[in-house]
Amino acid sequence: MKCSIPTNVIVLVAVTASLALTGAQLGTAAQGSSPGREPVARLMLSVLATPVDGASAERANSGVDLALGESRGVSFATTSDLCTRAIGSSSQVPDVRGARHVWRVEFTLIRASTDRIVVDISMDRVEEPSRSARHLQRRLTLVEGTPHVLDFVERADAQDGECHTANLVLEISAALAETSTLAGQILDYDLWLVDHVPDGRDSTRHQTLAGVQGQQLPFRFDIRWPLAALVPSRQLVGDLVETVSGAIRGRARADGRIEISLTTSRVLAAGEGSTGDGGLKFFTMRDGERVSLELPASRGRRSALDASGGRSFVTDEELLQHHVTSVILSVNRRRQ
Amino acid sequence: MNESWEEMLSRFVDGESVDPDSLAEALASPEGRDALVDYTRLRTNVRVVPAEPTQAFYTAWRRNCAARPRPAGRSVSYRVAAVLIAAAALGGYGVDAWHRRPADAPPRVDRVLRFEPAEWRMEQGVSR
Repeated sequence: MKCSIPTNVIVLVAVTASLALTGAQLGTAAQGSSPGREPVARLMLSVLATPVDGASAERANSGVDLALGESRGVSFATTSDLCTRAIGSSSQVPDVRGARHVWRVEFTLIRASTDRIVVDISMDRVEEPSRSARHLQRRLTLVEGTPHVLDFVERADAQDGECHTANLVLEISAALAETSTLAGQILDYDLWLVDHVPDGRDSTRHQTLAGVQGQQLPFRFDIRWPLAALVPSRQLVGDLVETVSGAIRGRARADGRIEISLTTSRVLAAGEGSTGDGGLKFFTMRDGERVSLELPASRGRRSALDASGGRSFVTDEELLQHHVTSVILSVNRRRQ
Repeated sequence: MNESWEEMLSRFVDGESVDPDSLAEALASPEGRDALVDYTRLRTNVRVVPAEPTQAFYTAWRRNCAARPRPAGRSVSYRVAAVLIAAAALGGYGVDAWHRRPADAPPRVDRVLRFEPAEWRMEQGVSR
């Protein structure tokens, strides 16, 4: 009697052996690179699945805690229909019968501060049974909680009755680890939007926020001007609406200062259309210090109705000549 | 004797005019006569009490009360009390105004920062 081994079993054994080997190597590297060092950041590999008939959703994730200079990895494997998946850190080798797509992602932490986590990634993707491989190496600067899309795979075979996955997206995200002495510190934010006009009346808006340090908090301000008041000579009809929104993340440091990451977006709208710009600023401030952050002048161009019913173009320089828009911020550590 | 007899007899003793028939009826009874005697005695006793304090009273008052120094911290003059009440009211208003700082009054700034070109994504968009 002839004894044969099915092909898929051979593939499974090969994939498992590959992941076990790489996992063992990574585990050894991690232990040797930073014994006793406190991790400062957590790197996460997440997998988003999109069904053929619905919305995308995260279906798997695995993360590793890293100290500066430390390297560790995460592996992910899935079958050809993308419905059977396994994920784990290098010491937890995913075990998927008949795995078709296999990834191993290695992270090396370079620098870490609020919303600026610099990490080197090395990705290897292996396609079974051909064993074709693709290697990718990148240096990323990640904003906490904001993902970086790493790879994409689409289902190649025909759909069956139970599995409806159309594709998978692999993405990386990062977050700082909170030190035990400052974890849970509540920060109170006092935010102002000021549109200053020389020899004119300033427009101001005010908002207060509070949250645990490291938590990102959204804010939003709106200022509305009649177009006719901004440029009387053009006899324009309607309003110009400036929306300044964004998110702030503060983190208390051991030296008493507070690290701030301020994401700001500005949208100007006259009628139905709108244009926008924005930026990200990092700075530190003292407890209770009041810092003003000036936004660059807008460079958009828009059309607006005039008194005759026609449309004419007007630039933001013309509309907001001499206007200076600033966000004023102060942060206080709440005494607990 | 009923209530109206008492009232009528009291007014009579005080010198007010009363109905003679009612007075006669009241005095016809022993209770009425006793009541009249009681009211007359009370009236007489009240008249012998001097209405004005004697000079001795004034002397004693000056010695014991007027000349005594005011104990510190035990009483507050009306002026001081008024000032304290006004200060408390203004203080309360001030705290309330501080909490309800008007929306068009941003705080004074300690430091001014700007978005550097590398930190700002400038878009020269056109909207219609």
